[in-house]
Amino acid sequence: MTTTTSPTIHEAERASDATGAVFWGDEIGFAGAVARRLAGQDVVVRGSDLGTNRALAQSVEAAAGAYMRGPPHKRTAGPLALPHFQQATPPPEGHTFYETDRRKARKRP
Amino acid sequence: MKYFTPDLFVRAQGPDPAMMDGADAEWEAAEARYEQRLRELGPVIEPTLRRLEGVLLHDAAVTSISRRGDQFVVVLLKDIPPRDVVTLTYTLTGEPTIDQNALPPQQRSGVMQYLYDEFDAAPDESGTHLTHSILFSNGWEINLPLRDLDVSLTGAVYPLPGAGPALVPMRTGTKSA
Repeated sequence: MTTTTSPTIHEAERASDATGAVFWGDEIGFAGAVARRLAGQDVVVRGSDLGTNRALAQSVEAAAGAYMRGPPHKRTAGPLALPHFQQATPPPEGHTFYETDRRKARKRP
Repeated sequence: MKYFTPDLFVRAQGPDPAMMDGADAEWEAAEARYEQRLRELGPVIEPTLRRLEGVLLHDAAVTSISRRGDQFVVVLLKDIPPRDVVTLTYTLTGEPTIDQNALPPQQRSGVMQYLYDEFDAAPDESGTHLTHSILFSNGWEINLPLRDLDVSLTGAVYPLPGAGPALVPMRTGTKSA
């Protein structure tokens, strides 16, 4: 049996190597996530259900402004890249990443 | 773009979840087909791919695009750390094409960022030339026929690393999702 837990939002950082990995850090609330996005920083939505994660990530990015969605692309974003929402016309820069069934953020080292 | 087409990118925007799911499945299938194509091209494409290996250009800001004769130069500021300046210098074998309307107006960004790209190869009278297609967030798609690509990375001096946004909108953004 598969259990679904509520998604959580975390501070995020991107790896500086060629993997494209996203590191998750401290858990934050919705308002904190929006504030972080408005400051041009990354956040990531973690959880077991793709649809719920994506919808929450979409809500966070929408609260920062008009947005676009970026599917992951192995060769330009790295093999461990996550799908994300970002501002259609930055600034603010940065991304709201979200986990899928197979693509997961890594714990910040 | 044959695989990561502007149309597929537009459909990936949703907003309907079922539409996003469908586009994501198509996207994954396109990635598999593209990787297969690169394997088929083998040694024709490998040296060029090696030059770009690990240089993650997704969302890189376009600083300039210029040309002199058969040299076509794209200068980018990377978005993915480390935020190096990347200079792509193509030696062209023919005229590049630029479609400034590859994305519909409502999907174009007010800034120009590197979204997705594809390499391929095509026969010509002198043998085989490579092609590089790039889709940019402002709606441009550039297709370059080339015989060589030089990739150089340098540390950014300006804009100051970590000093804030490197992107300045060219106009008010027209995009809404």
